[in-house]
Amino acid sequence: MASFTPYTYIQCPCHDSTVQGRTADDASPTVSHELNEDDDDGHAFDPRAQRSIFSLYPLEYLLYCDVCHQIRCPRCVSEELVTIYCPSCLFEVGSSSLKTEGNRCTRSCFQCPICIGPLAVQALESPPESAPVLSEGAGTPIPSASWVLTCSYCHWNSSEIGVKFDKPQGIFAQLQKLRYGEDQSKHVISGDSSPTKPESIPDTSKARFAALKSFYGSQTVNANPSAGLSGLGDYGLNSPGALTRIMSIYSGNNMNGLKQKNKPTIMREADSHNEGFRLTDLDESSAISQLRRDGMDGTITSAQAKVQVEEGAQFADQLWPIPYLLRTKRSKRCPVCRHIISKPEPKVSNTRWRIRLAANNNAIPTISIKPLNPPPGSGSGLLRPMRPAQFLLTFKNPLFDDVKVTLATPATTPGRFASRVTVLCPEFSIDANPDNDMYLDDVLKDGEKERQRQRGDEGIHQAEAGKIWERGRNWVSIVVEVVPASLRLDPSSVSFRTEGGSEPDLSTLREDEDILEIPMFVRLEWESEASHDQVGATISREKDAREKRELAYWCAIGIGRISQE
Amino acid sequence: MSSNTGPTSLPHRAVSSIRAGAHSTVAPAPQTPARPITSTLGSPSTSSRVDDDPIVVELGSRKLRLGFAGDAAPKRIVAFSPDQQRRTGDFRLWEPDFASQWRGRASGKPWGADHELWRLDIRGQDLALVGDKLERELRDAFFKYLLVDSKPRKVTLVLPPTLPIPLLSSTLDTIFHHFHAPTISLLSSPVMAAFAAGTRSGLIIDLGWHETTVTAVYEYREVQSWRTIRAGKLLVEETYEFLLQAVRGQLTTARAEQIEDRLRDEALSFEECEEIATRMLWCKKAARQPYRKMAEEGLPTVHEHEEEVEDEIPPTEDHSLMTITLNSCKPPTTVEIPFSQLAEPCETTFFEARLSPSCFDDDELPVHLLAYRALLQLPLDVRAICRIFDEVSILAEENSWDPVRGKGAEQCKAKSKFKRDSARQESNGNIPIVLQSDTTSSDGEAAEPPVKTADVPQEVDQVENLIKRERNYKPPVQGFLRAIDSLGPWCGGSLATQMKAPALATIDREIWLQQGLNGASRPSEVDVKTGQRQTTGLYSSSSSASNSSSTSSSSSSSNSHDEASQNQHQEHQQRPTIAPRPNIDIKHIRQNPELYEKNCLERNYKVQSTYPARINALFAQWQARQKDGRSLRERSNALRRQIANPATIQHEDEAENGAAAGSQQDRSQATDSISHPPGYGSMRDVRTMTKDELLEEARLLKQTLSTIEGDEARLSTEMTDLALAIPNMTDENTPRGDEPRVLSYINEPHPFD
Repeated sequence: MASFTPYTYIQCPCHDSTVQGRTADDASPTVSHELNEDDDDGHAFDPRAQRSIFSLYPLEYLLYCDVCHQIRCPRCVSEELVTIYCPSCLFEVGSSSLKTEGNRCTRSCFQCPICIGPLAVQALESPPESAPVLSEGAGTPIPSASWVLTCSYCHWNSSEIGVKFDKPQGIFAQLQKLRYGEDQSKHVISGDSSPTKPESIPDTSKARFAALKSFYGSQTVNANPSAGLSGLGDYGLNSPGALTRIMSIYSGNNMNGLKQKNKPTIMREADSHNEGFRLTDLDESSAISQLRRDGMDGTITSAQAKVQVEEGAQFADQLWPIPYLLRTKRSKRCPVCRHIISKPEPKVSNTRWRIRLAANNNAIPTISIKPLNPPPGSGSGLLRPMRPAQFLLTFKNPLFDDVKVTLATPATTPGRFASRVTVLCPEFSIDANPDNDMYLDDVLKDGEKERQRQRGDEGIHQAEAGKIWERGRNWVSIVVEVVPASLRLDPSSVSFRTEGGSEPDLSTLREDEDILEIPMFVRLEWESEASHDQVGATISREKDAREKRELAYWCAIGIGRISQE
Repeated sequence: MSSNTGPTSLPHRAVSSIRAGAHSTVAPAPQTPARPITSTLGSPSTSSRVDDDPIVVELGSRKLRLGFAGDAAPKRIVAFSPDQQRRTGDFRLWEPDFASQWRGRASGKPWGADHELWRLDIRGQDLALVGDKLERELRDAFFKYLLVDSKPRKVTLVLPPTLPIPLLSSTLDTIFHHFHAPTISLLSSPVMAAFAAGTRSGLIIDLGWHETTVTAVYEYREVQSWRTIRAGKLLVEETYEFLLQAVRGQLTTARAEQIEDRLRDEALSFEECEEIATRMLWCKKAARQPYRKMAEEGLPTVHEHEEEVEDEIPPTEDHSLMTITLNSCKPPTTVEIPFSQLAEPCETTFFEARLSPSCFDDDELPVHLLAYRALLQLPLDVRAICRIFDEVSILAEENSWDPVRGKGAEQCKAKSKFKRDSARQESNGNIPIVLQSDTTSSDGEAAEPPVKTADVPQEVDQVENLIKRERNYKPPVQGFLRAIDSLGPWCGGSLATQMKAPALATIDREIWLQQGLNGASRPSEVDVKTGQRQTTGLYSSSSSASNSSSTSSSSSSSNSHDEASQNQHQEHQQRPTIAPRPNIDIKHIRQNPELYEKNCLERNYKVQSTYPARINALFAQWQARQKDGRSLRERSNALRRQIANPATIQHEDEAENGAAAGSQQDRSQATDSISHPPGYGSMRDVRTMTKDELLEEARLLKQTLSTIEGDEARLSTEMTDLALAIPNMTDENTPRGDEPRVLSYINEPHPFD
């Protein structure tokens, strides 16, 4: 807690559009909405407002569309699947099998239900030496199942829930079988045809679901098929049922139509076990007695329940190993121009990108923050209330063009505690990011910078309004002076802000309220070569044409934590 | 949920007619809600269907369930928590001492507010924030769990029975804007719960987060719902108090009433309370055998499965100490609580047996009473089906209530089946919380909701009567009270969507973007279903024609506010083209202005109470215009005819005129003396006039006529608007006035009476 790393968050401009979409809701006359409308006017960006949580991103998360010249955050890109794979075995899964097999790894990758560590298959006792010999007979499973899943971290193993496996491969299938009984397809008895074996449906929800589904299916078929269709408009034109329907439309009052009128068929209710109908067993005494027996330790924590694949586990012996969730690699497109702005290598094992227009390499200068005069000994590292402190913001330009930067901040930070902020040099320009070819220049400039730095170290260098502090190849440092607010909950204090004359909010300090965070509006302007690819032949003739670009966004700069004295 | 507020949710008649319309599944039509996918010849669409499986989203205030239609279980269940509300890239969660600093995080907000997606009280709530939270969760679920790409997909929303419209609007907005869903279908969660249980009707008790709702579902329609705040949230708070007592070492039943600062050192965090509520609490069994027996004697038909008494060692007597470790207080402690005590919070929250039933407020009835009351009231609502409800009430007086329930229900064939669904969690609040110790009920699971256990004898009632089903292979089950296990609304939604059952309402993206942007929640079209919340005013008059109109007095006080504002919008906003045309019997209003006025006043529509009079005034004006216009029109017609065909033979003209006059006479009131209008006399002039004169006069007449017609149109729209704003006639069963009238007492009267 004591340590604090300065940070920069950038607000993606896409947030505006969503706000507009929302404020148009006139049916929701809440106060907050009115506030939002104010936000739209562009002045009061409050990084503390709850909504800005969702629109602020660290620079590394942002992409940049170089066709639209716009920042793209994870919320405003459209994504496409490239590869689906299991993070544990790195096996690639086809998107079609995703539909049938679900979103979990169906091989042998499992997570521990207790600690979510990876599980390994281990032989229980001595490996069954006779097993390979005996196993020819298809119908004779080895009676002594002797493989278990174990967690090497917490030493849980699957025998705790009574699960052992016959063979060390295909654990997923074996587990399904153990858990849900036989293959489910057998239970999907079509229709209500006589319940052959009512007990055959196990009490798992999956089986019930399948039973219900087939029940409804059969009901709707029996209840004349065309009746079901009539109200359903465009569905199923491609199915044979549509023919029937069309026939009945054109043939007028044929038999079918008459029949329907006379006797509207009613779908009946499910009422047998086979159809997925089940009376609840209201007797919970076994659960209660188990609770009594096992106490708190016998129940599972909510975190454990959350990672289970199915809901409903209550006791530790109801925890099942969790098959690994599949993961995807996805490429991202700009939603406006459909340009690909990020595309990974499709191979699972390759972590590189084919295309990646990250915002920090393509448009937005990185901002790094450090105190101008680090306090000797760096005691607590906290800012002291009401004492001016100066910070160096260093902007580093990733572009190959000179960039003109304009900064704006509110004079005081928003929120209950208003710290004062002064940017000493709100307008400056940063030199281009040098090409690698210009090595010599770099070296020369570096030497210059060195000299500058020496000068700075002499201490004569004073922060001066309107002047940048330091300049390098493609970077510029400026000074920001802050006067941290006092965190005392004292309405009479200067820095304590009361909203609109209402009751001062004297509730205790909230999380992160002690962080001095500066909302800063950054506007970049630069000239670059006109992008030929997009505009076409006419313009590409004049190769030297320069195009003026600009980009503006809000960012939130976390400077430091104010000490509470 | 008192009898005063009356049934809050019987949808307006107009709404129900909408339902019957194109989009409703849940429509009354008894036939199959679903279309066979496996239709006759095995449709070729199966393979292509896979691609566009709609996504089923069940919304609750605590949890979100997502998955593809046709799956047996949701692929992703999201519980909202503060951890999801951090900035991207904020990894503080992983710091070692993170958990111990919950006090800082929790300060300044209502207790547990971070764990909710929304509160039902939407005053002061930032709806855009709700949208943001929802969007983040949905995006996360789509990309990490459903593994879909950004391709637009159809979405089916399973909604709790009463979701405030602004919340719904915000939700729809989020889905349309960020996920580009082409259409969103809305389903109602109680109906889906019934569907997932395989039944058509039932009484669904949903122990939610903010409130518990008891909803009667009949033939896949929500008939009515009742609610009480005795739900998950209260349980967690109760648990907090309970644990706090335990920490302090005084396990007494007496509680400190005042709300204390929940951030003190000894206080416990919401997370921990909830966890313990889920893990350790349990619920007692019904304690009142005697009633049960009576019920059995009186009503042999009633099956009470649940009721077997099987206490070997009653858990209630068990005083062995359970150890609970509490980490969130400072310093962490371990408390030992007798097992029997652990049932306390649950008992207090849901049943509160210690207090007499007469001392509960309307919104805090214990769950069992609420269910009972629901059953009692049900017949009224469904009166169409049951004419016998008088008998029921007589029965009610004569018998102890248990039987009443059974019988009344039976006779009425009101169907309430009772499924108590375990799914309880879901609905409003989707509460994750499980109620009992055992708990965690999941909906789908076999796990019987603990509550049931708990349920007191009254559970019996919960059970249900099935109603007639007509064409069954098997004899219908009637008159039984059964507790039925449901797979839960999500599964129901999944099934229904896969079967392509038409939804309650389907909203098209295009329409939403057009209409939704300026008129955001246009409840009228957006969701028919929430029609319940929506005011009678909107469609009011459609049913006002019938004096005996059966619309329930739908608006509870909370709604009335909405209504007013909506009415205002209504004035200047174009109705969407797909909205049903309001069809109002203005004549009835004109003829019975006092009746309507009285009705308005009774329902506290002060402004509207003047409308009937205004309508009459407007009507008089309109009539005057008509009268003025008639002669002019005739004259104008004559001119037109003359201009068009000067050679017309005279007697033909006369014949026509005579016929016209005759028909006018028919139309006009007897008072009209216009059998031969003045124009008739001047008709001869027409023939003598020159063409220019004719044209000139026709021009003049046209101007005058157009102003008159403009006036007429204005007056008639104004009348229609006023008529639309008048609330429906109050059902005669609704108590009038503000003086409560005691109908009867349940159990003993209040001691202070």
